[in-house]
Amino acid sequence: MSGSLRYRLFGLAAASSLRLPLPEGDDPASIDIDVALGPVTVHGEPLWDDPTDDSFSCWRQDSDVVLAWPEARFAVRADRVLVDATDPAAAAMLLVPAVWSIVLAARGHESLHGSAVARDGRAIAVLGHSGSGKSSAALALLDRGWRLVTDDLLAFDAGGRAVPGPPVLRLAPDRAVGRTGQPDPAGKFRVPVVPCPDPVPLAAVVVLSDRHDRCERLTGASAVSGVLGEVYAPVLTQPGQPRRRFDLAVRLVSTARVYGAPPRSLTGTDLVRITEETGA
Amino acid sequence: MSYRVAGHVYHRAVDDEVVVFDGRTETYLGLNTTAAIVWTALAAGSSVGAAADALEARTGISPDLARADAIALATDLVERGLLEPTAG
Repeated sequence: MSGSLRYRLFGLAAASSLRLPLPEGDDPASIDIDVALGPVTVHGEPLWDDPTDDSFSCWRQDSDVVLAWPEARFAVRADRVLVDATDPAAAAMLLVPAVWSIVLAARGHESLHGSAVARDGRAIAVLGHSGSGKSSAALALLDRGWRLVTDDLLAFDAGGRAVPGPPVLRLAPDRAVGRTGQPDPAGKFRVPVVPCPDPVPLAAVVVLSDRHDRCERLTGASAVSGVLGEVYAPVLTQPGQPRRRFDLAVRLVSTARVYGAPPRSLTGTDLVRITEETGA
Repeated sequence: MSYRVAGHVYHRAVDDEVVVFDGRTETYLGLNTTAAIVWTALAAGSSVGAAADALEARTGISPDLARADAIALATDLVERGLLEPTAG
């Protein structure tokens, strides 16, 4: 039984019984994935289970991948997510983007930990771990008239183009001063922004990492390695994922210029220079 | 001695380097510019001697050093299971 709420999430039409803090979409001709509420038990083949850390575990259960946080549990397959949570708001925060990266993997698409903005049909992506400054970098270009492709979860279509995510940027409260939006349960501020409506090719990728002490161009194997260091979910949930991730990184490096920079270092001036160098 | 790329190996040139994916271990290896010269020659079926000649021509190092480097890299790649010796 499909949920009554309709969302467009990373190119997929979702029918959801869980309300998400996102604008609802139009009723699509067909539903790609159903988000239902129901019991999820934690057992099966462990894919990620650190006995010293009870904040997250991941299991394979027949054709499901089960993701378990203290706040909520999810059973994921390519066309259905089962949600078991006492706090729907916390579950919604986990569903997008964390669980959705597993949904995409179940459908054969690898994703990266990154934000992207676009202008005139070309995009620039900023990759990095949480707190590395991805969203702030995206904001610097949004304030210069760019449009948001995605924040935090960077997904791709079969043609290698970045797929639009929800039209919301999550900012630290000090970055959101003076902007319209709402606080979320994780302490971030959700700011609605102008979205890019269609998938768009990447002209440039910036990897924010401690491995870099300045903003510099990355080429060859170091560029591939930099991209592979920013896969969204390190846990392997599907057969063939390492090869698909490798292919994604090689494709990106072959079609976009890749840069490395220290976390929280990118200035608007850096980004403008990169966009000028790459024609983005 | 000549080699072929093992059947479980996938490789791509990126800029002037090569990245190699080992489907058996699901790991990848990056080869820098000079290693990429040797890999590209060996992967195309050239002998170690021909790979050394290519390395010498592209980098200007001595023939002896080029041969030693080509042999060392080929040996390492065989030990990693990425290249296989061919008969003849």
